[in-house]
Formats: sequence, structure tokens, C-alpha cells
Amino acid sequence: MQSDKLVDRVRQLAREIGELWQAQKPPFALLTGWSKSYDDILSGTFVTTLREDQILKDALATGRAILSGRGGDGKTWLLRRLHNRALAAGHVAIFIDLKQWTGGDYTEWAEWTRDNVGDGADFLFRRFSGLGLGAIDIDRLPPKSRKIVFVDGLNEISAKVGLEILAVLDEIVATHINMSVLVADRLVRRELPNLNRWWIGSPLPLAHDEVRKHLGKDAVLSTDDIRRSPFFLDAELRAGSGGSGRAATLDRLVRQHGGLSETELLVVSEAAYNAYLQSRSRMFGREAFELAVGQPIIAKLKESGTVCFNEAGGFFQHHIVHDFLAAYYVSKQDADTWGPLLFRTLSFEASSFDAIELAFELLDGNHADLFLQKLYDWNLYAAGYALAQARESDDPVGPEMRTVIFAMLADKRFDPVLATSQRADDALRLMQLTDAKPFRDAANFGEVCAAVQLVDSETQWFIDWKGLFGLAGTGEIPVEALARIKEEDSIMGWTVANVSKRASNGEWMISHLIQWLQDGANATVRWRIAHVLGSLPYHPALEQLLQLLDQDEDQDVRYGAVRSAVELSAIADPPLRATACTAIQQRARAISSSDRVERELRSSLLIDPAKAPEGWLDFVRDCVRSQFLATDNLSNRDLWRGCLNAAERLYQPTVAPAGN
Amino acid sequence: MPQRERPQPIGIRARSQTKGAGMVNFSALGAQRRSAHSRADQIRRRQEQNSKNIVSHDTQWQERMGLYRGGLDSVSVLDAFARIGWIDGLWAMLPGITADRGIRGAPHGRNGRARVGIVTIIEEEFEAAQKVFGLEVNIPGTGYFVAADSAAREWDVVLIQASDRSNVPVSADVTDFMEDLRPQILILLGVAGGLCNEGNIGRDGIRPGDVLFADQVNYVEFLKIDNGSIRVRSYAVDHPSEPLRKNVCTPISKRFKVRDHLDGMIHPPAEDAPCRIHIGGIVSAEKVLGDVRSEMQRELLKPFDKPLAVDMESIGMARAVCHGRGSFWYHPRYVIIRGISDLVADEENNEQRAQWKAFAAHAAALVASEFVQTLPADPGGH
Repeated sequence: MQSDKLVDRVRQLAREIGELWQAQKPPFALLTGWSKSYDDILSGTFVTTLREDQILKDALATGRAILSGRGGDGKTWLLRRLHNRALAAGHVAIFIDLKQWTGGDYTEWAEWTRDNVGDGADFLFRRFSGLGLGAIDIDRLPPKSRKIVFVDGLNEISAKVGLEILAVLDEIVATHINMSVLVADRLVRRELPNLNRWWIGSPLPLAHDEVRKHLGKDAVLSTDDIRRSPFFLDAELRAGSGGSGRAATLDRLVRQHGGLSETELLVVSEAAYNAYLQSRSRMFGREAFELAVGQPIIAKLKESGTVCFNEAGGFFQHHIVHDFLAAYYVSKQDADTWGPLLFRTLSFEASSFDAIELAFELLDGNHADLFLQKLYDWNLYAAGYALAQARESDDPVGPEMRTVIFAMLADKRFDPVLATSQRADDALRLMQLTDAKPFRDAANFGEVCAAVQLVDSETQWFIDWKGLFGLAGTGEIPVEALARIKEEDSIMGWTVANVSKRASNGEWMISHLIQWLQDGANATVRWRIAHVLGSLPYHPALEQLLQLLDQDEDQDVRYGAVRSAVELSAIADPPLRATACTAIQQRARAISSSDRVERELRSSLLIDPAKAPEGWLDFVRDCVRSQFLATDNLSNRDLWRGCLNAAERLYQPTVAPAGN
Repeated sequence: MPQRERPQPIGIRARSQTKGAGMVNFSALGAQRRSAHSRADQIRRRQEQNSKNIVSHDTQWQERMGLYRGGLDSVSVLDAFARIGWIDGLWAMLPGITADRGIRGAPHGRNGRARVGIVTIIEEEFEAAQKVFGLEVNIPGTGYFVAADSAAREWDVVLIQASDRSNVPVSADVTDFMEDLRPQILILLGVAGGLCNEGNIGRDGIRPGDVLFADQVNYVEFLKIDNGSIRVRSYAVDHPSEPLRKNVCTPISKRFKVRDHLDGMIHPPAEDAPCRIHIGGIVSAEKVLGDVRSEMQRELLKPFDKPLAVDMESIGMARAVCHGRGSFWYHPRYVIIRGISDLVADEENNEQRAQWKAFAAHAAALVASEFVQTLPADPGGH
């Protein structure tokens, strides 16, 4: 059969690709836990546990599987072995290696997907499969042949493109005959397209017996021992023992196995950071990198297998080594350089937090705290996810700063906006540090306050912060405390903003907040004020929010204002809610002109049904209709359609027939 | 409601005599065909037929590409593709290998295979379809209902109730249906509002209790009314299958009488209801814009002066089928069969809708049953 020859040929090509991969030696026996829900995966509870040899049959029955794990837990090795297993089983296996993604690919991808994300399928296969095949060529294979696409490195590109690629994969699996996909990703909740058709898995830490098989039967192992992670067990086998932390292990690996001196390490780390900065990907330009580090170091890196080169450029054999080097560079820089650009660079636009956590480990206590505070300034959830990488034994950040982050996240667990409470829940679920537990488990805000009070410290700033945070439990906030919303210290400033939202009878605050706006508050303070105004269901507060939405030059402020306008509506009396609804509708075009503001409105409309007032669905429907009419873009319209459907499920599970 | 024996649709019953109640046994059908021709003959004939079909397209295409040299065998499709740069990589490494044009069985989905997939929306529609088609057995772990279990996971007719009303959920459900069971024909089955001309008279005389085969799907969102001017905003959709309309729906509309198939238990609420079958356009309203009777929807519906009915889901089917034909190997077609539950007139008609909804759903299901029985046993996937 001609078609069988085609299949054989494709499989042969795939086999040749597989043969290029160095086998992991020694191989480690991995178990994976699986569930249909991210809630389960993030909290470490699974419907089933599968051995490697069971994954293909069992996990791919649904056609879509995503393996979410922490850096270094063996996802790539596992995926490669499964690829080879699939070939051995007679399937057509295709390996999409997103680690080969370069900075230029972002531009090309944007071009390909400008009109429709699905249009990117051919680019994805042709550019990253190594087979030289486009999407149509894969489909041309006879339908009886089982095709499995393995996608590695989804977490190594920006979150936005990652989601787009998931949408493309979902579409391919739906339309191509006998097609399945297995994606490796970081441990984070993704907005999976068609969520109920995905099977979500996570690699489990290596069993103690498995580790002792390699380290010796007398090896002492703790529960969160990093050597239960395949990468770090392998690193210890290569570079020997000598420290318990990830950063210490990596440091040893690059010095001993990589053969780098301190001076060379500094040179390479700067080049590694600049590679992230310039390419926004794991791949980097060979020429620039070689120029930056010089041939002698290149020779060492190649010889030790630390860095590889191919036609597309260079890359580190494991991304965590690249992360370590970039983190090493950052840890040597002045704290003034720690800002949004650096964090976006280090985390791939808040997609991957290994490098940030490694920077914590490399910094001493005070600097680690400052680093976390600056990270918090940029993005609370980034601070949470970065802290979630830390293990008990890493101890990179002081208990005070940890408590602040835990408490701020825990506060958000009770936010009326479902998306916000879910993100906060997720970040806390991922925490491996035991002192996160009371914040994760708190049943109400009172228990969060109680958990904060239990943290004892003589550190003055923390005592001060505790005092401020504790005001939330009383419902009373003095004007001098409210005034601290203007503080430059972001932790204090945002704590005041959050605490003020919980104040009872807060109408008196409006005039102060408006006055401070008129006094020329900076953008961050204006954002905090917008945040507080959302909790004050009075006409002047609404008017001020609308003014910020209309006129503020800062997008963060406009973003905060639209969200607060919705929050205010949810607690307002019906006439004020109607006024707010009309005002939001009138601004539909302006809102839709900013992706971020529009996205925030869509997200804010879906509030906790227990906190939604009567008639909330009508409010949502009116807002959605205006936004729907304000855009011609089909994808945007679909998002608004989806928003209304979600609202109907939340607020009116049985909808009256419409048109039927 | 008293339990009674459900009438088996004739076609299904006839086929089910081979094996299993109400379920097509594809291997048995194959055996029937083998009684007329040997397997080899059959394969050869089908190959010849396939080649003829393909040659007519390929000839024009190859002529355009300057490749045509008198027959299909002389130039492979892949070679031709390669010349225009569509295929590189692997194909360039495979000289002499041509596209497989042998027998192609209709593909299986993740959960098996269905000849016909029926999608209903509201409870009355689902119950009517379940009753008329006798689809009481649930495929475990899914929302699909069939006449009987099948070890081969092949079913003649499979029914599902959409997860929700409106275009978005229907589109998602149809997409899932196509992935799960690769139905060759999809039917959107249920009720719709009839559209009126001036004087509140149904277009083409359409009345409650009548049934519509939709020949086109329109969508209010395709027209944008902006400061009094109308602009076209469209995206790619499939319309209901024209060959099925010509060869199946039109003959049914001429000879099938709904009243002749009422079983004595179900009557139209009005004795004089003609229960006619119409063929015409349907227009989908957009739920985001409100109920079909809302002022905005009615304004948007005005330019669509020909369609006979309005619903909220047809465009979801049209879009999903267009989108779902993403493989060489799978080309489903669809029809829309809607019983008219009310007329979308100026005055409020909730009462009329409530009165007619169940009957309209039943009448539509009877017509759908006739449609399914009229189809060839296995239309194939291509």
C-alpha cells in the first residue's frame, strides 16, 4: 500500500530524530499522577497514577493530555521516551520542540496567526517538528494510522503564544483523524481550550527507593529533597554532593561539570541573561553569544554538553542551567536594576519562574526579601508563583516577607471576582513551604488575620505591616492609616488599599481619595485609589472611577478603574447599578480599544454567585452586548459570547428558551 | 404518560434484522454487498469510480498547472503539488509515491462511528427524537444515545442534547460530536419560530406545526446596521447540504405527510393545522443581542426578508461543520429540520409557543426519521 509506505517513511524520519537525542543515563523510573481537573493537580491529588508504559494507552484515550510539572522533574526525558515508545508501537510520532523557539519566531507566529490562530498549524509543524512536514502532510497520512504529537517546552515561550499553540493543537486533534497530543508544560493552570476533553498529569517526585538505587541505600532523603527531582539527582551524580539547594547544586554543576571558573561564570551568566533579554526564548544567536563569551569558554561549554548549537542558534542543554546563569547575573546586579523589564525577561513574561526562584536562593536574606518586594511591585501572582518554587530547605526568603505574600494572596482568595480568587488559590496551592498552609486553608478572612497574628517577629517593618493588615479585621480604618495609601513602599501602600476595601461605612474616604487624586498622585497611587473606590457604592466614587477610565494616561489605572466600576456595581443599590451599567455601555468602544482593559472587564463581570446581587445576569448581559457590538473581530465576539454563556451558567443555570 | 411500544423507524428496523436491534451492522451490510459482487470486484469498481471522480477535478487542475498529460497515472498529485511548492520536506523525498486513492472507509472517531448524528437543544426536542428513533441506550461516559450497544462501536443513528442553547454551545457540541463519532450526516433537529410578512402571516404560508428543511443559514450578525447603513460582516460557514436537499429533502417535502404518521397519541393543537413541509431559509439570531422578539433582534432581522424561520443555533452548526471539515478524510454534511412552534409576530406569543412546542418537536422528529430512512445505508465519507 502506498499509504503504508508514507507512514513508514514518516516513522523512519521520526526515529532518526529520536536517535539524535542522548539517552538519559542512568534512566529514572518516573510515575505520573493524572486528573481531569487543575484543582486536583495543583493540590497534588490525582485520580490515577500511571507508570511511563501506561501513559500512551491510558492518558491519550481522550486525545489531549498535558503534563504539568516543575522545572527539572523530567518532563522532556519522559516525553522523548514516550515518543520512542509510540514509534515502537507502530504509531506516527511527531515531536514539536518549542525549546527551539527563537525571538524571530514570535514575529513570524504573529504574522501567521494574524487573522486566525488556527492558521498557525502549518508553521508549528514545519518549523518545530524536524520532519519538514506541514499540517496538511500529517493529515494526508491514512486515517487508520495513529498519530501522536508530543509538544515540549510550552512553558519556554510567552504565556500568550503558549495559549495560542494550545488552541491550535486542540483544533488539530478535533479535526485530524486518529490524532492525539501530549504537551509538557509548567505547573500552572492554563485556560485550556475545551477543558473537559483534556487529561492533566504531573510527574511525581522520584520514589525514595528509586533515588537510593542511584545514591546508595544509606542515602538520607527528606520529603522535599531536591534529589527526588530527576534533573537534580542527575546533577548530583555528575557533580557530586555538597549542598542541598537547587542553586548550590547548579553552581557546582557549572563549575565542576562545566569546568567554569568564577570569572568565566560571570561572563557566561551575563551572556545568558542577555540571551533571554534579546531573544525572549531559550534559543539565542550563536554569533552574539560566542562574541560575548569567547572561544575558550565556548569550547568548555560544548565539551561538557552544557551548550549546544544547531542551525537555528544555540541553547543550553537544560533550560534550568540557563535559568541559573541568568539568575546568577541578576544576583550580582545592583537592586536598582530589579524592575519590570528584568522580571519580564527572567520569567518569559510571567510564564516561567525557575530563574526568579533561583535568584532568591542566590541572594542573601535581606536582598532576597528586597527582590521579592520588587517582584511584588511588578506582579503579586508572579511573586506567589516564584515563591511556590521554593522548598523548605531552600529558605531563600525571610518568614516576614513570605507571610506578607501569603497574606496578600490569601486576601485575594475571598475576592468577589472568580478569576482573581482562583489565581490566588492556585498560587497558594502550589506553595511547598509549610507556613503557607494556614493561609491556603483559611476558611474566611478572619482566619487569614489570625494566621498573620501568629507569625512572631521583632522586625520593625513587619510589626508595622501587621498592624496595618490587622485593621482589616476591625472594619475601621483611621484617616492617617488611609493616607498611607500614598506610600512609596508598595507593600504598605497596597496593604492599605486592600484593608480599606474591607472598611465598613467607608463613604467618608471618598473625599480624601479624590483630593489625593487631584493633588497629583503618581500612577501607582492612582491605581490603588481606584482599587479602593470599587468598594464604595456611592455616586461620587463611580464618577471618579469613570473619570479615571476615560482620562487616565496610565493603562494600569484604567484597568483598575474598569474592574472597580464592576465591583462597585455588584454592591450598589439597583439605581446606582443601572447608572454604572449605562456608563460602562457608553464606554464600550473605548474599553475595547485596549486588550488589557477589555479582558479585565470580561473577567470582572464573572463574580462569585454567592456575592452576586439579584439581577446580576441582566447587568452582565447589557455590558456584554455593548462590548459585542463594539467589536467586529470574530474572536473577540466569541469571547463575549462565551462570557455571557458562563454568566448564565453561574447566575441562571436554567435559562428560559430563546427563540425555541 | 403510559408506557407503550415505541415504533421503530422502518429503515432502521429493516437494517437491524441483520444483527442487533435498531443498529446497523456494517459487516453484515458488507456481506449483502458481497452477494452481488466479489470483494475484489467491489474494490476495483470503487477504485475506478473514485479515480473518475478525482480525474475530473485533477484534469482541470493539472491543465492549469501545465501538468496534464492525458491521465491520472502519468502525473501524481503529489508531484504536482511539489511543483507549485505546496509540499516540500517529506514529499520531496518520496519520488513516485502518489496519493492513496484506494478504498476509504468512513473514518472512526474517538468513541466509534455514526452514520447519522442528531443534535437537539431543548428537552422537548430531545424526548421527541428519542421516542421517534428509539434511541434509549446511553453510550457510557458520554451524552450520546443510541438504539443498542455495539461491540464494534458503530451506530446508525446517534442522538445528543446540546449542553446549552444558542450558537456557542451548539458549535462546541457539534465539534465534539464530529471528533467522537465522525457522523457522516448531522441533523440539527428541533423547533423554531416562523417568520411573518406584513399582516403577521407566516412567510410561504408557514404555520405552527409545519416543518422546515433549511436550505440556507443566515445570521443576523452578518449584517451590521450602523447609523442607518448596512454593512456585511461574514465568516466562513457551511450551508445545509445541497445534494441532500435536492435528493432527499425535496422528495420528502412532496410526498411525506406528517399527519399520516401521527400515532394517535399526539395531535396538533389545532385540528386544521396542515403540518406542511417547507424548504427555505433560516436565520439565526444572536443570543447576546437578546431574545428573538426583542426590538434589536427584530430590527436586525428586517433585512432578511426571505428566510422562513428564526432560531438561535443554526449558525453554530453551520460554523462547526465548516470548521470541522479540516481533514482530507472526513467531510460531513448537515441538514436542519425545524418544527414551527410559533410565529414571531408583533404581538407576544408565549402562549402559542407553549401550546405548540411539543407537537412541533414531534413533527420535526417524524420528518427527520423519514429523512434518515431515505438516506443510503452508508453514504461513505467522501
